[in-house]
Amino acid sequence: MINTLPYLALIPSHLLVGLAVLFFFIGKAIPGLKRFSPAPFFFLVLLAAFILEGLQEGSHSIFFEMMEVDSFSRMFNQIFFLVSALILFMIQHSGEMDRGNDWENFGLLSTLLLGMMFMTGATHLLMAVIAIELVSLPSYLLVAVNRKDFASKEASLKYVLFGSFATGIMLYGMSLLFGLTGSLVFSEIWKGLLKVELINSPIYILALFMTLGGISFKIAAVPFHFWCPDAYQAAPTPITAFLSVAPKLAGFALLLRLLFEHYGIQQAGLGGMISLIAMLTMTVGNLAALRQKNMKRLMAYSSISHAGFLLMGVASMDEVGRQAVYFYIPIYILMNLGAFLALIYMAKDEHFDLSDYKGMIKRAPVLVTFFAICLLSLVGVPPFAGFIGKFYLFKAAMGQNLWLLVFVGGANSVISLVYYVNILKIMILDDPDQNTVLVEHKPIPLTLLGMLSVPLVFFGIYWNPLLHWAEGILLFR
Amino acid sequence: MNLPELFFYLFAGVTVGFAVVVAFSTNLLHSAFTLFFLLFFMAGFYALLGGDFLAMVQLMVYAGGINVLLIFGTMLTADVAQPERSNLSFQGVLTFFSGVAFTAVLLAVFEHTTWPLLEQPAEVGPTTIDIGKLLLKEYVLPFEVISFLLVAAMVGAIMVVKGGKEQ
Repeated sequence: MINTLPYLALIPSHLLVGLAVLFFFIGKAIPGLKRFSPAPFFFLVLLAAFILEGLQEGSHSIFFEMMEVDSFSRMFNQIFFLVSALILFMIQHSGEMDRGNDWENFGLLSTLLLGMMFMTGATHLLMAVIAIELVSLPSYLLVAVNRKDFASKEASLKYVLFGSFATGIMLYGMSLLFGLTGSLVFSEIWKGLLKVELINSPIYILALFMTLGGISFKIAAVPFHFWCPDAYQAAPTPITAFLSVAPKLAGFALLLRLLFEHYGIQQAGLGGMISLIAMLTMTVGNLAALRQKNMKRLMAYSSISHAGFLLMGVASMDEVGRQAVYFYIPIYILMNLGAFLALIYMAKDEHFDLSDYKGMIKRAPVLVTFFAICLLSLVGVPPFAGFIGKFYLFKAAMGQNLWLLVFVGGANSVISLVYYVNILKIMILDDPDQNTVLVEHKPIPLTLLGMLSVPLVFFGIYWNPLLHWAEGILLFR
Repeated sequence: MNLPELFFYLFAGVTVGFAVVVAFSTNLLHSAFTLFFLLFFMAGFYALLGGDFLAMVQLMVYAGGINVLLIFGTMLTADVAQPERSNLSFQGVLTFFSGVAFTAVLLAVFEHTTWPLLEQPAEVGPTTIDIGKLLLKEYVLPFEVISFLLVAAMVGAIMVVKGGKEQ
């Protein structure tokens, strides 16, 4: 007899499937329904799903080891619901999106959310691949949501091509893993690799490198980061903000779960591989960001380099590193979404050239102050929360004696200082000219921006609550 | 050389030959039509491995369905029969060397690998019943999720081609 109780954990996923069906089909079937905005439906389901996730407890393996629902997956799912609610707000307040097909847009967003929920729970390579595709497909479409815009179509097509290439590489790697171990379940794979004594043999490195390749496409890590700047620049800013946070974190969730069983084996080879990817990712992201003149492109490269920093915690391959990643995640969300919200607020005819922001502080002092908090936190300067987050990531890497990684990470923090501070210099020290963006005062987005940026100062000074929260999240518990 | 081995090399040679035509043909239509034979002979590998159901799916879905769709797509594209420029997309020396390097790495690694082998089953029977059972039991979740993924893909495809707001 199957115990059906754990399957209740999937009710939030069912809600999202229902939501997508509502947006895709029922909206078409019932005449007049489409006159309503889809936003309230979306928000209500997010709220319900958030509460339902919070009510669950315990760890269950469901659907014949396809998925695991535990505090880890619940934490990530709740984060995704929160981020989606914020993005919903951004969409409502930004004029950039083509709202003509709003029901379909929100249907795609629900599908994306569903895919991310499967990514956090997957314990089976097949499920992982399907979840990644379920996230990728709506992402491609959401980048091209302004359909008459040529640049966004081009970016979307690039994204599709890179995505298929990365998936192909990943599937090849996974098929090699399957050939070596005869299993697709994460834990069985590591056990199988131990049994045939293949750890650190050439085929092991090749298979893992290819598998990691597909996941590094989702977190926009080198060498699969090329789609990122184009897609981020061409997509409407709310979608860019969403893509820079949620699918990236889902990729990290999948990565952490995939590697978890490997912690017991604790081989230097895999940690070395990931720290190599981490070093390349942050260096490439930061060096490219130095030359950017467009704010959205710059944020894209900055998010690439931040994936590198987060990989630092993964590379240490131990409990300390994982906690550091959990600790950094809420901080990353706050500062990244804060920066994008400020960008939406300051949007001027959908261009985001740096030169348009000269002397912004004289036009909108409060807005620029909040934006500066987010940027300084992204650099990792004390007393902002970004500093504490990075501190724990560095500590995790030091604990495993990954000194080269620590050194490269430190050097990259200094490089990142240059381009973030350059933005602030343009905004604060330069004099406004006729190109400078005129910001009309909108109290609600400003309040929300404050709610995102003030905690960055708070957590930078008193981070114990966040630390306790991060310690409470355990896999399979 | 026994019979399955002979067939393996036959299928492999033919498939690679057609793949070369698909990749290097200057006319997109020729590529699309040659792809049909490539996919057709690919089914031979599945048959050799005892995957009768997979071989049939390969024939019906890929050779019969997807490829026909591709051919229609190419024929509906304007001026595809007499292209002014070659459709050949060849990025030059760099692609060649990276391809050779990748193959060399694969070959070198596979040379040094001993694969754990399954024991040969006594007789190869039809697999359809087992696949059906697996799809509705162990693999029911991926099966359902994939069907949802296809729905989303279809809606998305329609959404992209429909007209939107002029920008």
